[in-house]
Amino acid sequence: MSSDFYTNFILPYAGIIIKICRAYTNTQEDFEDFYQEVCLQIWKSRENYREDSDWSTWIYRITLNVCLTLIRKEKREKSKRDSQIDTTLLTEENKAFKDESLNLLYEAIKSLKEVDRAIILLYLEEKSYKEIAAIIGVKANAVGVRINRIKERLKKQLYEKVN
Amino acid sequence: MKKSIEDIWKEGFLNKEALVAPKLNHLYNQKSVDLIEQIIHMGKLNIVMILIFGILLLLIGVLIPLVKLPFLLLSAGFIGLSIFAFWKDKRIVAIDKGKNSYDYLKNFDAALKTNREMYARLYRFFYPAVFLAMMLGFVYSAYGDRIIGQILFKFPDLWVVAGVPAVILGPIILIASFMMLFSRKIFEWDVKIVYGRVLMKLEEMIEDMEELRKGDE
Repeated sequence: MSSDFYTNFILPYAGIIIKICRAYTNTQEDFEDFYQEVCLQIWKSRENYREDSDWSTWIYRITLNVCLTLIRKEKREKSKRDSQIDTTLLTEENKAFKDESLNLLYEAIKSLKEVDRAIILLYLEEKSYKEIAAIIGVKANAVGVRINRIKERLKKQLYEKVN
Repeated sequence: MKKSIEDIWKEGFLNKEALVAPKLNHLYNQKSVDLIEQIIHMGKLNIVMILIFGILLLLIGVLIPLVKLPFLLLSAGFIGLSIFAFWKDKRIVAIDKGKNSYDYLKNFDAALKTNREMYARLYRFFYPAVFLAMMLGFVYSAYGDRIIGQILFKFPDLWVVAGVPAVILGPIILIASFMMLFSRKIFEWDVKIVYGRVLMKLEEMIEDMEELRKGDE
């Protein structure tokens, strides 16, 4: 990969990639692997980019698609679907951010199903229902209903954790 | 917790340290860990291995006159199998990752299924052929020849086919036939061990998205 491509076309959007990769990984090693793979795939797919969508939207798509189908290195994948926030993952080593509330929010997001994670991440990034629907390939009205459910679940989890 | 999740998100990322990109070392030299790319690579490797195995059998057949016929036949089978895999089958192709997630996952799933179907067919011949090569290699070796000689000396009335007593050849062919019959099961079991988790996750995600595509949440 030419370093110019990374500097000019990926690095300005690194925030998007970091935020998404963090939601699909539990360890720093996995996070770095996912980040690297996303960058590699953006570079490899650059010729498929059509200007009918923003470059940032396209980055969201690639990042989500790569994260949804990558295999984590960790041997033990915790099934956290119906569980509360797993505090065992919140060790000092696994805390990705200095902000404690953000760490808790991320752990709550990680307890969601993969598709719900994608939806809520896009929502928090202030994408409209229509944009979220287009990125994921679903219907906008269903996205609205799903977001309300996810938010309720996250709020409940955070409330229980703090209290 | 008083703050909304939207506020936690915004405020959490005000600190620029939260968004420092990891250092990338020699990215252009890195191998992709993408599953589809790995499968494409593994598929190519498998076909090359079958071809090499076929050539190896051909060499053995040419160099050792005693095993010439069965090894030449097996070699032809293996080489033919690899050419068939190269030429005939729809190969798994790289998928556009810039598509929406639903289309991407559907394509990903279809690619995995195509690949599984292709290899299930390939292994239908591959498993019994490897078994036959091993067994016939042994039967026609000097050691096997000595054992068969001793058996025929003790039981001279045995029915012999191609220099091998039918009581030995029969079970070999029977086992190879069973392997051919159950190769799909063996292959599926193999796939489940390697990709089981991914396939299950993929199925769940597609089902979930299909719910959202109906729009009747």
